[in-house]
Parts: sequence; structure tokens; C-alpha cells
Amino acid sequence: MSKNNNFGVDIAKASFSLASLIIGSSIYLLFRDKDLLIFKWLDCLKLMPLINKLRNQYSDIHIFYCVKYNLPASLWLLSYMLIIDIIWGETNKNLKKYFILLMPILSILSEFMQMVKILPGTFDILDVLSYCLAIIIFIIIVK
Amino acid sequence: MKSCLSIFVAISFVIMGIATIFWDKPMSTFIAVLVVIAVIVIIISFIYYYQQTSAEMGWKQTKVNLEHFFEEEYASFKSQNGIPDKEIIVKPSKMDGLILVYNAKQRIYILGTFYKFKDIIGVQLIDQAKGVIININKVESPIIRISTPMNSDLAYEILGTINVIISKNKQNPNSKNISSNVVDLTDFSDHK
Repeated sequence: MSKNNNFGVDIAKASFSLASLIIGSSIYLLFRDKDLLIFKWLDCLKLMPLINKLRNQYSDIHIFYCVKYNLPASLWLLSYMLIIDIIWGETNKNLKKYFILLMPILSILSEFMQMVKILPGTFDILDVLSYCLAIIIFIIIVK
Repeated sequence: MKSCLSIFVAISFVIMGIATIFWDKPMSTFIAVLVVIAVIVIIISFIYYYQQTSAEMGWKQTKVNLEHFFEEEYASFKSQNGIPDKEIIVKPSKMDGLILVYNAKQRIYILGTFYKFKDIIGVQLIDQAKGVIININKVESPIIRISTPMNSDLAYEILGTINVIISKNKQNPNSKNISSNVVDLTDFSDHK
């Protein structure tokens, strides 16, 4: 593949990654309960009035359970793997594989740690499935 | 650079991931947990960096030792066989990675073995100019395959040199076993 083609593919991947991150974050900020840590941080940063305004604007929108609770995790993981893939390019170095695999392993592990109450939160098999979905989509994109 | 960028991205995404957990304890507890995690990450990074640096230093030292050994070996070789008229380095710092031409002695040293000029009977480019095959007048080992995967200029240089030797063989009435397998340097397209 030529350098120009690679650059085009990287731009497409970067756009996809950014879009995934923005959509996932928006779902969290607009539709999730306020007892998440992110809202405490935003409160510390005095950004909650703005967030509340946005949440009120979109409060009449009802979204599916999976979209609200599982899709953001999937998009977050996909975004991460794509960024790492762009950083390392077409190299076959083991370090690239380690970095790509780091977050899927941590995510799935954290879900199981929630199940045995080592980490705060509720175990959700749909979260695990959404992580697996992100990995599958990533493999399809990079192949 | 890539590793640093990847670490930065990984940490950013971990923070994003942490941001989405339920937290009903005071923020000070959260900060304490973060400090513990940061200390662990720093210790692991330091150990990894130390191991990488040690491995790199060891590798560099080995390379220096090998280069030094090669220089001594090559100097001894030259004192024994004389200064070559032409030197082609196929693999650096290895005696069996050299092609050396001795015009006066009518000998060529190819990757660790001396051959008489008259025993060189053909040459051709292979693998889209990423390699060369030299035909030798020896039934037990009739070809020498030289791979130059990253350097087609090197393949052309070897081809040119061997063609000169084959040409000399043709001009020399005493030499025997000369084939017509000489590649025309003006047209490589037929020899991919």
C-alpha cells in the first residue's frame, strides 16, 4: 500500500475513532445517572450547569437500554484500539499488540472484578459482549 | 516516541474508563486510590525502562564486540590474501557476508569461499532484483544464492561485477567452461 493510501486510511480510522469517542461520551453525559464519577469531576470544574442545561434539552429523548448502558463502552474501546493502531502503523512489533490488547483485557477483567465485588459497579454480561463486539469491529476495520 | 504516545493514550482512556464508574465515597478516597495506582504504574514503567535500556546496552556492546572481532579477522585475512581490488559488503561485519575480487590472482571470494574466475559461469537477478544467483562450475554446489532484500542496487552491483568476471573469462583463451549465461546489463526486465 502506498504512503498516500496509508495516510487516507489513517485519516478514516482517526475520524471513526474520534466519532466513536464523541458519541460514547455524549451518551454518558446526556443520558446516564449523575452518580458517576465523571459528574463529580465536572462539578469540581464548575461545568455541571452547562451539562444540566444540555441534559434538560435532550431529556425527552428515550434511547434503548443497550445504547444507553452498553454502546458507550463498546465505542470507547473501539476508539482506543483504533488510535493505538494509527500510532503504530503497519509494524508487527509485539509492543503494538500489547498496547492494543491492554485495554480490552483491562475492560473485560474489570467487569469480572465487579462481579466478585473487587471493583465498584455492577457486572453486566452485555458489557462484556459489547467489548467483544468492539474487538470484532476493530479486527474487521484493520484487516 | 510511539511507546510514549501509546502510554499517554492508554492512561487517558483508563481515566475515561474510571470516570464512568459509580462512586459514592468522598473524592479524597478516590484521589488516594489514584495516587496508589500512579505509584504502581511509575514503578512498573521504571522497571520496564530499566530492562529495555539494559537489553539495548547489552545488544550495542555485543554489536561493538562483533565489529571489533570482524575488523581483526578481516585484517588478518587481508594480510594473508592481499588487498582485494573490489569489495562488496552483502552482510556487514561478517566474513561470510563479503564478496572480494582479486584480479591478479584470478580469484573471487564469495560469502566465505574462494572461487577461480574460470569457475564462475553465469549470473542472474532473481526476486525482482532483490537477489542474485551465481552459477558455479561445481556439480556439488552449482549455484550461490545471494539475497539482498532491502537493496536492489547491491544486487545490480554484484551482477555487474560477476558479468565483468565472466567477460574476462571469455577474453582469456586459457579459461574453460564458459557458458553464455551472461546477463545483458541493459535489459533486466527479462530476468525478474
